[in-house]
Amino acid sequence: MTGVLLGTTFSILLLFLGAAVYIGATLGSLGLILGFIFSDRPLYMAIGDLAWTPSTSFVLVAVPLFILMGEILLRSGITDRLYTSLGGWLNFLPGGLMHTNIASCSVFAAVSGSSVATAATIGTVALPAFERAGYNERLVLGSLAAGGTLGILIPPSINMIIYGLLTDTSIGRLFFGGFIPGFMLAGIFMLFIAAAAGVNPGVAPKEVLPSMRERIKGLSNILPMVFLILLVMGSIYLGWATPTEAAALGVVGSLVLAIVFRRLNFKMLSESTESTARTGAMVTFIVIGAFLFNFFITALGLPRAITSAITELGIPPLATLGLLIIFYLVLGMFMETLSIMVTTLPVTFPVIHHLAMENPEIRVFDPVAYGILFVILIESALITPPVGVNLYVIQGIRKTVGPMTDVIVGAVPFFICMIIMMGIIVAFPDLALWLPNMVFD
Amino acid sequence: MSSMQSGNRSGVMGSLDSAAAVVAGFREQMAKSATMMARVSGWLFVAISLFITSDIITRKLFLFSSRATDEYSNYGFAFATSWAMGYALLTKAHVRVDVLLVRFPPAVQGYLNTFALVLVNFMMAYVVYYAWQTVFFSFQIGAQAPTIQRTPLAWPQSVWAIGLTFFWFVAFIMLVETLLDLARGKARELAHKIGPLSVQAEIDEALEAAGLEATTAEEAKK
Repeated sequence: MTGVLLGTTFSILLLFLGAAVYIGATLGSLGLILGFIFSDRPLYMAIGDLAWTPSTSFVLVAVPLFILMGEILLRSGITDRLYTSLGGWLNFLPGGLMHTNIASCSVFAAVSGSSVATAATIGTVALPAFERAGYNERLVLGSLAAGGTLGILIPPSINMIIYGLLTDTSIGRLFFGGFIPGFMLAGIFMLFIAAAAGVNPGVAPKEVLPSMRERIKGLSNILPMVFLILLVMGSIYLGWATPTEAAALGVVGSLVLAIVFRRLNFKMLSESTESTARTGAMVTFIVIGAFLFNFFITALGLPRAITSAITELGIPPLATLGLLIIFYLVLGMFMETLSIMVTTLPVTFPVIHHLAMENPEIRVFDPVAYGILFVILIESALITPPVGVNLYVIQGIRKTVGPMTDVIVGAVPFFICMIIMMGIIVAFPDLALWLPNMVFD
Repeated sequence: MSSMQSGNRSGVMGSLDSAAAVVAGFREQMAKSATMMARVSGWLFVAISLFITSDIITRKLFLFSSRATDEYSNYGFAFATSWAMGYALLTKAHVRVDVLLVRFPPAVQGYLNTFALVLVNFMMAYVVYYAWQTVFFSFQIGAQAPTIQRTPLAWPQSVWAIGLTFFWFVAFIMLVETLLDLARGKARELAHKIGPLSVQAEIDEALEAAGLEATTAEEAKK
């Protein structure tokens, strides 16, 4: 019976996903169909409550608010100045302006929920600076594609909110958990760029350092972003606000910045809100689908069956984790981040939860540490072909004519950096656990 | 073929054409309502942000809190997201995995797009029906939120159910339109009409928002 249930679930899931059915409808319909086939109980009676619960989840309210904050900032024209100003401080490093790609992506990503918007806007501002001869084009394109992925690891992160909601993990802990690994990964990216430029000076020319005066002047463009990050993370840190309340503060903070930059007007705000409504509705529809799916498969005992099947195989816990990582890397080639999360977490997280119970000494199975590992994992999905949104974005905005493979090849070393970062988290889960434990315990 | 489509067709095809014209007109009206509803939704998020922020400020400075921000924000969220779902469907914002889809011939894509809409209708039929069941049940037993406000739940739930119903309605009209197109042998055109948004469209949207579009277009010309 369990075999039939498993087979049916995965065949229908693959069929619907392959046919490009909307993710929310894929999960919701699949849940309903499974309920009809495999249960005599009137499980569908719960649908009303199942849809109402996430629709009134205060945790989920943070998602549109963070999106709104990013939309307002995007329209306040901050990207341009941020790039030039950060460049002044970083281009002395071997690798020159490529470090600025990573740094400005990290900073912009920290306040914007969308990796497409990050890669597209930073990329568009950055690319003209590389038109001068001397830079290895593939590496430049790769650094932009990879830099744009940092957004979902450096808090605030919409993917972390969805992970927290689906696995009942504290969003605040996840945010602080992502802080050190996020900036560490950015550091590893920059270390690689510096090493590449050190070994082969041909990949990047020496940049001229602007005068101290100019650099200090440039700080006025970096500080607003720092202010916003401090406002959001600081208010959570001090216990003044929950993550959702911090998101509301962030919206108001971005409005203040838009006023300071003289960009606030009715049209701009109305465009921001319309875009937010669309994305917020999109996310909620998916989450409703995921809640239905989760309810039906749990009622039918599917996660339990999979967990015990895996336990019976007798694979060591860390090998199971390794297999899961490979599974997600393959999946990441074909799906984007949100779809991966909602379709797989209801099935894979119970396995992790079980492993955590059985092996309390292996701390990477802690829901926060695993959450951070998981976020890096799906982050890599953004730059793995054939479906890697950031690869397409960078290819779409580049001004030179060339094949897509330029971007793909350029992103490979950064993908390897992500794998290294995953290894570091598995070996030292405290990197993800120390800060949240210090803040909340 | 094109002369045949110019409206002079008789019999079944002719009536299908006029039906399609009626549905298309209807869809246009519906799109207008959806846009209005999405605007209301979007501004609600601004209102929620201001409401929460003012509460944080008064609670920190004056030790006064309405102690209602969570609850009312949740209702606002349910309101805003459900009311914008139809708009999101019309503007292709709902996420799909299109890796295989775009590799199929356009006619096959047309059928797959229709299938996707069939499933939205299937799911929403249940969700909408049971959402209204929840509303009626709340009315019947006088269900109240477990908060100081003791808000009668039926009210926010009704607003939410209206949004979901409108979403289903949008999906239904889109499906009817799609089926009429299929019946008239226009499967190839559906990919453009309801197929997923291309990455290029997403890029353009982000750049336009950041005010960067003009520079890129100019530089591309050079």
